[in-house]
Amino acid sequence: MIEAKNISFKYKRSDKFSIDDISFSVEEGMISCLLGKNGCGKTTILKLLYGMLTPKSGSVYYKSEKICARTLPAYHEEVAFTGHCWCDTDLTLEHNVEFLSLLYPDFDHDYYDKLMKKAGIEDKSDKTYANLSAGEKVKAEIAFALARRPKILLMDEPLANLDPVFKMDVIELLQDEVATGGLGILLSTHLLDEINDITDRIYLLDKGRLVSGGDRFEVLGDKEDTDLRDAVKNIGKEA
Amino acid sequence: MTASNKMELFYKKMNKLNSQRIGWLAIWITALIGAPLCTLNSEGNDLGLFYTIIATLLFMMASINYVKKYMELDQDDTTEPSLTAITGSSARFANFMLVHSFDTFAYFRILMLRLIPVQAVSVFFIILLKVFDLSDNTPAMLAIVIMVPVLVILLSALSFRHSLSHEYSLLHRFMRGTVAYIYTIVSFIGYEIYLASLVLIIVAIVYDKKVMEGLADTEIARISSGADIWLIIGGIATMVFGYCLNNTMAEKKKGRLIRLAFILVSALTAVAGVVLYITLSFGNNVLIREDSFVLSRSGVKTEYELDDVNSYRIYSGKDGIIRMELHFNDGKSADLFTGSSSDTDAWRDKYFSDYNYAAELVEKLDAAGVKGKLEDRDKLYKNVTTSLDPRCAEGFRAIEAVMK
Repeated sequence: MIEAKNISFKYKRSDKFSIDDISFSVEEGMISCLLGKNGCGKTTILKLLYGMLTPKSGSVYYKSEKICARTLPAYHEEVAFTGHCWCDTDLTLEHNVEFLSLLYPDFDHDYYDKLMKKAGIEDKSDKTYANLSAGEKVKAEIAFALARRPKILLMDEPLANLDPVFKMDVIELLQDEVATGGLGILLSTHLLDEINDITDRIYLLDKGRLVSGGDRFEVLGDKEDTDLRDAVKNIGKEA
Repeated sequence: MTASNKMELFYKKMNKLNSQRIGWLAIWITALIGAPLCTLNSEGNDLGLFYTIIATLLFMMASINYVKKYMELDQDDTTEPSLTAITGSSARFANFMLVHSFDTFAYFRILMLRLIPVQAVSVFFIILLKVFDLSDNTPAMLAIVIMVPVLVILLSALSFRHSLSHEYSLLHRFMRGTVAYIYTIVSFIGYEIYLASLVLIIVAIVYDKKVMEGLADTEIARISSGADIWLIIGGIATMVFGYCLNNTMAEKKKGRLIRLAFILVSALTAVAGVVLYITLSFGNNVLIREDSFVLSRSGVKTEYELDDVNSYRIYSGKDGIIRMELHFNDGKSADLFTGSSSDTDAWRDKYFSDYNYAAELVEKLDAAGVKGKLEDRDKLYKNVTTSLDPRCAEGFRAIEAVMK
């Protein structure tokens, strides 16, 4: 479990906090979703959780161990992140996977091949990453991230740029990984319709603050006709 | 699997992926072969320090290039301009490694350990130069060759680690930006030094042997070829051309042999202009004997005795070193100490430096009634007393005594 305890963060050239005193957790075996308007701090939170940014106050813990420079390599072995440049763009996919997979003892090459085939890009291995289309890049990144067999997967806008068919495939795949493999997922997205039915936990962000968060039904209420769209519409209004 | 085992595997993979990067080996071999040959050739003259600096820089650059092999990736598709590729590649490598389980310090610790054999051979070799009395600057050479590459690794590790944060501080931007450009310039200079040393080896071995043909080692003689400014300009122009060739063509080639061929072609292109100049200078030089001079201009040779000298002047070069110009009765003149020179063993045995030869020549010309001018006296005096061997100063005082 990743646990963020009272984390705050301010960019160097900003006079206000981008993330202000937020606490929450990402647990294995469920899908959590970060929702909020543009610039509310979703990507910053994901980067803080992944150790790419250091909180100005508060800390991030994984299995009760504080994440710092010393623990980061081992942490990254179990936690994956998609949405940031993950490979050398001028190297072929094959070469990238060939040497990056060495960093992950549990990397499942067969599963990677299977995912690439499912994504319909199995014949793109000899292409440089820069020469792939935007959708193909996302597919390859997700395939690599899942083949790492992580315990927790942080995803920044994973469904953007995907074709409708593969978008559904990815959602199914993620659900399957959560149900059978016990994977924990935290994703940020604007595509509310696609994830409406699969989210177990929801965190609503407004201007760097967590306005509401927890179990889906706690946040949305128990009404059957209330969905994520309504929740997002109401962000900021209650305050 | 422990972190260090994992990074060891990663290191081996990088070695395999970048197996075509053999530039460091070329520089290293050049240093190993060239340093003693050049040093032997320059024994006893003022080029010794210059050759020592070149050898030191070559050893240093070899180590840095060896490390660099493991901090960047050879690209499958090089479409960027060469300078961008150089400055950007290591930064880009750090940038995407940050989302992976990459143990920076374990990796750089391995790099440091793997550098030890390379460094050890370089150090052993520098000590050998000292043992055979071919170098007077061993401590400085050792300090530079050992410390600079280690410093590069430490700074790179810090820069890598710092890249994990996307919050670019001023220091970080400095490290990733300015340092990258400095690194590019240093790489460029390193490559130029490598090429320059190839030229020097050619000068030291091939040219010297060729130009001295027909002269016995027991004969006291020197051949001086002038116009060194053109040598430098020609050299720089061809080296830049060779460098561009190397970056734009060699980088795109996959096969090791093809790549090596491209590196050699680019190096030879760079060297060719200089060699051409040297070849041309065969036809434009001065053969200096104790009491006579043979002036070659475009292959036409004219021999002069001391009686044919009308006047002369002694002056300081920009470097503060003595220059001497003879004016002959037929209107021609000869520069004795400009450009590159090749001496017989007997010449080296008799004259410690140009100052000592000039002192003897000035005495003979004075005895023959030939008058000369001593210019830049203070500059020459200052340089000879502060920077050169006391025996050079003796020669200069002898010149002053005759010309006062």
